[in-house]
Amino acid sequence: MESRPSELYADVIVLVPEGRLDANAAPGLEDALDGLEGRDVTQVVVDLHKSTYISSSCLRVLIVHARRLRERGGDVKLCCLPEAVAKVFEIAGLGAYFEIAETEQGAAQAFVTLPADAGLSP
Amino acid sequence: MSVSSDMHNLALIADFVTAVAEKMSLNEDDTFALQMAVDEACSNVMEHAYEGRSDGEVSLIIHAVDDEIVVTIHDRGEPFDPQSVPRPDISAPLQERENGGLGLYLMEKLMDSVEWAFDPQRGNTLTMRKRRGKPTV
Repeated sequence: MESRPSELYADVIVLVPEGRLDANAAPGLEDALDGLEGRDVTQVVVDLHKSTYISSSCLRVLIVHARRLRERGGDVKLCCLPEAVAKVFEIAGLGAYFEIAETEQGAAQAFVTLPADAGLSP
Repeated sequence: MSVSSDMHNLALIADFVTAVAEKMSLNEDDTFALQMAVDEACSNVMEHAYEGRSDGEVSLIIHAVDDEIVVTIHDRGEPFDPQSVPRPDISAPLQERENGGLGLYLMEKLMDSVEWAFDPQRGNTLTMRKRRGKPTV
């Protein structure tokens, strides 16, 4: 599975799974995310533009890793969802829990942008 | 169609569902619902009823009865009790969610009815029904 530093920030690693992300693909996705975690990568963008479908098995892998990375101050953010994949996130009620950007740059940027309510006001 | 319980066969099953949906002139939403519900159901059989073994048999029948699409999936694996799987609380924050049950939740959300039956001789039979929408013109 393709993984590379993001174009904007070298600390953010972009993972690009391909094809049908069904139960058969879940172990591969898990291995790739485990591999990044083993290298102490905590900021991950999963770029889904080459994915045609996602099942609950792969959603579960993303949820588990997002949860683990959030505990370490990182996250799994998503970008470039094809319509069929976006629909699954919507039906599963996961649209609000993952930060989903339209572009890889947008997802990477979200790691360094403080939220509006970060308490910077005087 | 009938395939072995090897996870690689999920792609074959998806191709079969696409062909049936085209033949039935199902619209985009019905095709999506059927694809996903069948994929989740067959994954469940392979993962749980056959406990990951690839030598079991999964058979799938899709037919139309009046204005309903009826899917029947049959296996001879371990008895499946849907009540034993808690459905996820999708309103709960991600940090608090249980990991399991998402597949069953999706099947029940996408189809109008999802019912399991177990017979010691015949094994598990899952029947899913969905009233079909207007066909694609």
